[in-house]
Amino acid sequence: MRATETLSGLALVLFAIVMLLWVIPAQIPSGFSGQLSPRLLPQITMWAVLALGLWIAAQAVLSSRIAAHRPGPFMRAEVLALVTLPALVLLALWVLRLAGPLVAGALLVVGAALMMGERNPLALILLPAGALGAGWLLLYRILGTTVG
Amino acid sequence: MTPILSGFSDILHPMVLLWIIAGVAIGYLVGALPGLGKATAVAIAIPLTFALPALPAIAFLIGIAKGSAAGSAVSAILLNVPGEPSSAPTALDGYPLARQGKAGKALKAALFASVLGDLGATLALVVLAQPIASYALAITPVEICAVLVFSLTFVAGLSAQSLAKGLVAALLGLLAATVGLEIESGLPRLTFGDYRLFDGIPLIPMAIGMLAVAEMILQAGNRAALDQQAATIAKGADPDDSRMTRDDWGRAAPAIARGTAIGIGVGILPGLGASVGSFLSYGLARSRSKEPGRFGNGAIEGVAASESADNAVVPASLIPLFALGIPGSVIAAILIGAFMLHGVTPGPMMFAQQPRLVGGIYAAMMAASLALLLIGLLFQRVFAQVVRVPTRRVVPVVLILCVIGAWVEGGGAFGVQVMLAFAVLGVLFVKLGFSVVNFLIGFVVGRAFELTLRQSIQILERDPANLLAHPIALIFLAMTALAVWRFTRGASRKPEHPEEI
Repeated sequence: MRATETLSGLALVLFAIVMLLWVIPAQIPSGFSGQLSPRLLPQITMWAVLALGLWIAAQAVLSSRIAAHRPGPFMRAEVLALVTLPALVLLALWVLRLAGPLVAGALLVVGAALMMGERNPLALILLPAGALGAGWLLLYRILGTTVG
Repeated sequence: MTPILSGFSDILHPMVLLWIIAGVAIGYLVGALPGLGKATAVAIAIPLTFALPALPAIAFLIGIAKGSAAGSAVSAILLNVPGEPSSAPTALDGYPLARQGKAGKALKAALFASVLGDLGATLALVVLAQPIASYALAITPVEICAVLVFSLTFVAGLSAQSLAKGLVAALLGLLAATVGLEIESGLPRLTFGDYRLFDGIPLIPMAIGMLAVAEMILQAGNRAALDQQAATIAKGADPDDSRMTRDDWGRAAPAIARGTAIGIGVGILPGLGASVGSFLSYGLARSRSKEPGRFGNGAIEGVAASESADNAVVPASLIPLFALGIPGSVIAAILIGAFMLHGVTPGPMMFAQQPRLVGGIYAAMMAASLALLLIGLLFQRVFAQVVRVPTRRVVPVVLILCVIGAWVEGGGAFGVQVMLAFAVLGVLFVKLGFSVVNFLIGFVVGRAFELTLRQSIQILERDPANLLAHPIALIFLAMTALAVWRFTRGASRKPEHPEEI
């Protein structure tokens, strides 16, 4: 846990340095004379994040309150979900261009259900049918809007 | 008074009433699902209002917020899994009551406390918002900037693991708000040449990503534990176990009155949030009880205290939104997006420019309180069954709703990409102890903060000594310093994890 705190503090410091030295100068013009610079607030926030990141890292190293051997914040299943769920959404977005919203929507619902451990064939049919049917009824028929 | 009467006549239209009832019902249902809080529910529902006129759309969304605030008690009581953090104190006594076979009593106590807290705060909104707004028109950007600095600092200290992490979250939210064309010069900032970012990062896909999709990812990672919890609900045989008796009312009524007052106070202060209100109210009820030992073992007044404050915060957090244009909570922050989507700019000018709509919103909020009572009483048993739905069937349906919402509001695939990026950030925030709420509040107030900061620098002619001419701003800056000192001192005394106490 202490290592996680230290690393997150140092990651913030690194992020702030990269922003201050490279990203802000490259991505924000210095502005016009006589006006306050458009870089003002981004630079203020990053200087503050730099200081607070150092503070968090220093606290983690020096403080006895933080348990050194506490397990890390992420469980294996959470890391897996963090990768697979967004990947499934991106895959559905790609399929959307090729096969349209119905197939992409069904892929998203069935894929998520399978990822969550659903194995009942009836549920795997009814879930996308219900979700897509209700969505179509509400958006296309009742509200008169469209998706896609 | 006339705008409110006009508002009542506006909401008596069957379609408006239907949307209010639908909002409360959906909110109650979603609130009962563990992990899906009111902010998530409103964020998901915003796209459903695209084709509606302003009043039914806003009434529907506020109905969802009210319904889900009350519904979150259902899973807290039945499963010991709070629908959202603000219902955590409800679980402390609600779950023991359910285990004793008094789930019906606990659910009714929660419902009545929710309705009374909500109605009390709605009346406070009606009475207080306009006077505060009249005063607000007289204050300068210097004062508003100081209020925002205080709010962000205070929220940072209360809602995160530490003041430093809370401030980092708020600062990153402020940074995210600077993406897009700059207000004064019109120059692009942090857009990396992508014209889709010229209008800034879209709020709704961001909120859906950080709140809903991040929660879905976390639930997907904990599905076994969540499914396991859906099978331990006891049911009592004594009729008194399923209703509020006179004795119960005697215990609960003072707790509800205090909880409502606390909820209103907490809601008015920008950014504190419902969790602060419900915990404060629960703590006060316990400290004033003659039998504090009952708390944690099934005290009905514990449930009442927590729920009344939790639900009072929702309408009360709209007071700073309506009066100052400052969101008092993350729900109010999300509602800003919905209001603007429907051509309403929250703030003091709203009372002058759209008095009838404001009256309609007030009337709709009161009607939603009544709808909450009816829906809760009629469908409480049915809604309670929702918590038995396994997470593996909840996540896919919510996920597609999120994608549709982000697609519609974020301009197609770009909105979904924004949603995913902020979902990943949201998970990292939650797991590393940085507050998602602080980030969103920082993002939402970012533009106003930057504008008032720039105006303040010009008004003060770059000389801090000129602050002496702004005593209100000085008071808020002093309160900010006090908050930093207090939270830093508190952090040095408390252990990192509560269980270590």
